[in-house]
Amino acid sequence: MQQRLDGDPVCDQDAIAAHLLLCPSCRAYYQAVQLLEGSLQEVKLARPRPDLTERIVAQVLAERRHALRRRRLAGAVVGMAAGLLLVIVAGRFWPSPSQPDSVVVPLAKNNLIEEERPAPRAPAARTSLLETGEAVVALTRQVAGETLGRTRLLLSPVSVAANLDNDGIFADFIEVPARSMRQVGQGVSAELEPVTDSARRAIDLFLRDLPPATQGNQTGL
Amino acid sequence: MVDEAALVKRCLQGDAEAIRALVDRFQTEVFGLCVRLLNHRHDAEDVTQEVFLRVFRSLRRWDKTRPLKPWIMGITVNRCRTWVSQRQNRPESIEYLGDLANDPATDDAAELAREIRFAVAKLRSEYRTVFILYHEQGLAYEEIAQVVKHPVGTVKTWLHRARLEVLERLQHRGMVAKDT
Repeated sequence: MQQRLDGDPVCDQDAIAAHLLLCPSCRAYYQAVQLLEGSLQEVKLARPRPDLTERIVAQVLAERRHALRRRRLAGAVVGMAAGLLLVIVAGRFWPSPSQPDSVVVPLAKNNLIEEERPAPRAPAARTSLLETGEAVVALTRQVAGETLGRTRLLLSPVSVAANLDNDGIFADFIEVPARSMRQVGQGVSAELEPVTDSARRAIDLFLRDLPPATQGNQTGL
Repeated sequence: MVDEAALVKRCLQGDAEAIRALVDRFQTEVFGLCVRLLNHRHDAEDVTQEVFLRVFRSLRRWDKTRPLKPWIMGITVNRCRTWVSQRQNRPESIEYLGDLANDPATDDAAELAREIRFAVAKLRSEYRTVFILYHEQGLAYEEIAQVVKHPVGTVKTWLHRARLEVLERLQHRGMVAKDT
């Protein structure tokens, strides 16, 4: 009877019809359900307000835009993090362009072979820069020190050379402009290096030819 | 099915007109089911909105080989169930009765229809759901089984018991003779 009420094909329609004639409760149920179904056709589906569609569409589109924005932001953050990680790893593990160290290993007195050490791992970029800077400073100090030393050496024979009638050569350098001692020393050293070498050789020869007693009274050299 | 698949594809691409078309197509049925399950018009509008948001969020998971309506009705039933469990039971709403006032029972058939609606509202949740999905929404047993996630045999049993309870109430109200 359920199948019949549902409109499904029933195997034995005659048997059901015969039973309905004989069974009051089944007959009552069958007729009531038919009445129920007929009445339900009168039931109208409740209708929503007309603006509900637009409200729903607006909310769906807004949510979609928000989701897209979130996905793009997440992608940008992940990309930046990956790029940063790549730079750090590359800086750490990038091989040094310098030649591998060569170490002279004495094999025998006259037989020396060079043994190559594997190139040291390139220090981090920051450490390399710091070391380079320190090396430059140290080298500058060394050169400045040497220059000053040579300048002092140059100034000492000036007092001797003045007696040798060489005022014309050194007078220009005695007139010192308002610059740092280091710059003056560098300039003097660069320009007069061959002259100082010659002067030193000349003085050495002069001192060698002096008698012993006179040598004890030498000053300034 | 092809038409639905094409519409869904356009919705996934963000086509506003496709989204509007899909909402228009199913809005009345979703709202009608919500009203009958929640017995409250305002709640039904809120839940209807929520249902469609969930539909579009999970549209990619819809099985293209199956019809769209049972899938959407399944989401509707679940949302209504959640809504009911989160609030206290409300008495039948005056707003709901207000709908009936706009359509007064001018004859016996209309009055019977109104009595049936009241009787259905008194049914237990799963019976009421199955009854409405079958008699008002016109879904087949297999589709109802998909919506309520129970076997077809269980759906048929629930529908049979729902009919018996509605009949009993109508007989109690004198709308249907006890024995013919």
